[in-house]
Amino acid sequence: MTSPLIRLLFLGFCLSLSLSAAHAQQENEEIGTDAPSEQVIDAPSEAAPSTRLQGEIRDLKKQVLQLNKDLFLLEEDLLFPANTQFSVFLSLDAGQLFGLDAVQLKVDDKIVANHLYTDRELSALKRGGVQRLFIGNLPTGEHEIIAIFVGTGPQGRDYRRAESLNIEKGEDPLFVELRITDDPTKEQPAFTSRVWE
Amino acid sequence: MTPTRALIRSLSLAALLAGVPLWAAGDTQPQEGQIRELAYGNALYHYFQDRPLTAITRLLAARDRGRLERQKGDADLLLGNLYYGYGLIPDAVALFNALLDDDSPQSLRNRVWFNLARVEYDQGNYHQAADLLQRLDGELPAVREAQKNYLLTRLLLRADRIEDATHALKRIPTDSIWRDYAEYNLGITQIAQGRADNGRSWLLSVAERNGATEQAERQALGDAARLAAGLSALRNSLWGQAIDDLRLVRIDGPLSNTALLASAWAWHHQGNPLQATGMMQAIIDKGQKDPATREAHIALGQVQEQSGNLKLSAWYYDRAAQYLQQSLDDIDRVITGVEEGNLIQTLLDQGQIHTRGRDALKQAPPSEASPYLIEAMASDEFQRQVRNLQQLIDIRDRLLDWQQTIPTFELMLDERQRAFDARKPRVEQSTDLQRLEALHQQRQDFADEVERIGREQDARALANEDETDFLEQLDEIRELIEQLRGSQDLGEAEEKYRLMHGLLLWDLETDFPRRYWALQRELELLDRALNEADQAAESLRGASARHQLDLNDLSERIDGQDAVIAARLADTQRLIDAQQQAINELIIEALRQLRRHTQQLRLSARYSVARLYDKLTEDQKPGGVK
Repeated sequence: MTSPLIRLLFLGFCLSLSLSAAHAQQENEEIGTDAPSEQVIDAPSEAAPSTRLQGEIRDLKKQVLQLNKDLFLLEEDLLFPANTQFSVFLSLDAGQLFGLDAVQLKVDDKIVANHLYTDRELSALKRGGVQRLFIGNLPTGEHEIIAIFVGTGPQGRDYRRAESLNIEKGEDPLFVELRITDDPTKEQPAFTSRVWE
Repeated sequence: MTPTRALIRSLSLAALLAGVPLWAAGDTQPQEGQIRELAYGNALYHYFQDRPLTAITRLLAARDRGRLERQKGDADLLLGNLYYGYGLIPDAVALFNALLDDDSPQSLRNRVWFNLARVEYDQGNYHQAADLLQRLDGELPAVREAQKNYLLTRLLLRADRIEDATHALKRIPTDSIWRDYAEYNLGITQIAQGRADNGRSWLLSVAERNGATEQAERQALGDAARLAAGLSALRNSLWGQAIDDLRLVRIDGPLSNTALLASAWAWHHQGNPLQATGMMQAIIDKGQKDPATREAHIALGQVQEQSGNLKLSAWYYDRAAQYLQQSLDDIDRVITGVEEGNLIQTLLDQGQIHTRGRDALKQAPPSEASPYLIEAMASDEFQRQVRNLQQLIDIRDRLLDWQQTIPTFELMLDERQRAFDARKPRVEQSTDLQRLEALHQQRQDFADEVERIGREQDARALANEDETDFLEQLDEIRELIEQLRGSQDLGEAEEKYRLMHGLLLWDLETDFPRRYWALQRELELLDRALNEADQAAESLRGASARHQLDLNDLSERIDGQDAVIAARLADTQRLIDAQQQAINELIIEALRQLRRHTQQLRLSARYSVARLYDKLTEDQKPGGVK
């Protein structure tokens, strides 16, 4: 619902109010009036009173989002035409039996991607995010993909595993998903792949 | 005596000292259910890494490409959340509402109601928020159900419905952080309403549950709960209880000084000035510049004065005045620095804002100005303004990237056009219509001949080379016989000619059907080959035309983009400047308030010094107390 920071701000804010109330009571006791009862204990919201500057920023954001999308699509069309476009995605499910450190991707025995993961990226993968590991061009026909996963396996041991996949590239963009899951029956990580239609 | 005033300030400070990333996503819960569209999963990947601009771009692009159809509802819900976190609230609400059509599954509708309730709550529309929550039919997925009950608890607390709030709170699992926040809120609310015992028990419940955690957020929450309980006890003159509650606030946590100061006051009130002054001095010895340290300087003088150590008290007050003067000088320098535009660099140094490569950023050591700025930065408004600035900087960085990329696009396109132009003559040759028409005419001539052979049953026309030679030789022999007919007896020769000619014709006529069928088959093959040639030429012509159209389309899409980017960059820079100015003004105002407060403390210290010296002088006069 809210970010950790916002929640912490919320925490500080709540405490401040609590103390404001305490302080108000102390001061009011001194001057002999009733203390006002503070009860507003909200997290700071995303919504803020709108100013002219904020309105201008909002307009700019909308314009930039549109422009950014147009340029992103242009870049894709220019660099990776649909008939040769080929993408490899990576996802992580569970991940209790394998701590991913890095992935190397080969297409037809040629290294096309090397990725070393940050904590932030791993966290995003564990939450259900899917990383686009590679996008490139591939001629029509049969190809071999090899993904080499490097990390920490069960019992904290160094773990390295290569998985290969043969694909048939047609005239449409081709999307391949590499998926890392846990195999609880074998107590080993499992590496699967899927070609998306 | 103003211990709590200082504590209030340091508590706001604590939020920033906790080291949580500034730009966390609005909703960082795990994805529920399976990913059915890679583009959606990829947007989530960026969303979870606090890259809203990238996440929104990917979603919008995927939507244009029709790559979200299998998970459209989830994608739109995510986009709505992203818009909301990005400050595009009307767009978010419009998207949410659009998801509430009759075709939407109930589970999606529930999540939409929940999101809309959050929006309404954040905008202060509490009745609407409660109404939206009531529309939920069935439970949300576990994590969101906890959030929903947390939101409900907040709404009920706001409506003073403590019992209902307690009931709602108990529906949140105890291992959820939302349970901790809900209990914390309930505790604070009850204390504020004068039910300190009830409030304390909720706060201690939070503190005890998080006593052994290693999660920074939970540790901070546990500290805050203990501190709140301790301060409540302090307010109610329950000195022993305050000391007990405050004792477990982590010494290395951001609330440490505040807790120490509060404990010191409790010890003082309990009649143990030695313990009190020892703790106050411990705060001072840390050499920090936070509000609790400033207050501790004054408090030492107050405790000593109340203990009757007037000389020592005067010395402490004097030291406090010097320290506070130093603080005032520091604050003045910070204000000057902010006025001179150094704030952004300080924010960068503190990791409050980032330019490019956020993951790779190494936080610089805090500057001399940091303690005062952090205090001033504790407000929600400041955080909002900084977030705006961060988003503008992200936009500028992205636009600069595009600005550098566009010439590359133009170059690439130019090269493609040149390569295409170079291939064009070959393509045109391959698809030459006249050449194809000539081939078609040749085929027609051939077909006519086949038809004639068939019609006339012309077996001679299908003779092979040897047979043709043979026939020609026979024809020559016949002519020779005709010439010699009157002068010689040619009966035998004529008989041989007739026999051989007859045999040959018989062979040809007998084999005619087979040969004619083979000829027709050749015609069919020729037709097929010609048809393929036609199709290939057509396809090549089409591909060539399409390629040119694609190149034209790309060219049109690139044309003028540099001007648009330049214009947006200028807008962005102007707004960055304006936003920085707004932040500067906000900070300077907060610093001035801090300065006024510090000035009051210093005046108070100086006055106390003067007052005590007067008293000491008075006491030393003949007849005075020595």
